[in-house]
Amino acid sequence: MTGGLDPIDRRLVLSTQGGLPLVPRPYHQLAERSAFRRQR
Amino acid sequence: MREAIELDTIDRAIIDTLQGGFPICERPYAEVAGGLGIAEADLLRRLQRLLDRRVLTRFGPLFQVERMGGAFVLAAMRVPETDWQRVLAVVNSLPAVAHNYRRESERNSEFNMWFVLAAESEAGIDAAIGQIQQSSGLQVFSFPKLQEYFVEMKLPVRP
Repeated sequence: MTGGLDPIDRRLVLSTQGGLPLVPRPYHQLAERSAFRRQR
Repeated sequence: MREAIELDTIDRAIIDTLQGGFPICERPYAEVAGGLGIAEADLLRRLQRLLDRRVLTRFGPLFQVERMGGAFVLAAMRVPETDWQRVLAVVNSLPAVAHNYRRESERNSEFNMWFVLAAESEAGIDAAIGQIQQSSGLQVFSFPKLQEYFVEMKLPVRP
């Protein structure tokens, strides 16, 4: 069975392996760290 | 035994609350802190302290690797006492090893090293087993999951 992870999903899994950043906007930091484009 | 760290009522409430999930929104810590009646900065400081003191080993999402096409397997070995440290180093050096425990039964099971392998694919599990067998010279017994019955892990930490 494959979960159909696309490359962005995969980067997200890898970038949170160590945990979620302890900053007020953790998802923004993940997005910036992984060079995701934030949708505003 | 390591000395237990003192947790106050708020630390306990934080651990209890966060086991139930974590919001996906712009300021998730602020949302959780609001529910606990503390400031966002206080929650962040307390979480950092719990991590620093190893009360928490990690704070973040846990992924179900099988749903992503990956694989987990429980494995065990019969390691002679005289060879323990060498084999331990071999097993722990592999990134696929998620946990490794010494466990012994009073009922004469010869398995004494138990570990969980996690990999991005079934082939990754086979490769890790092959590598451990080759480097240790010992056989690895894998115990693949046949059926999953119940998975839930919430520990109340109220005083």
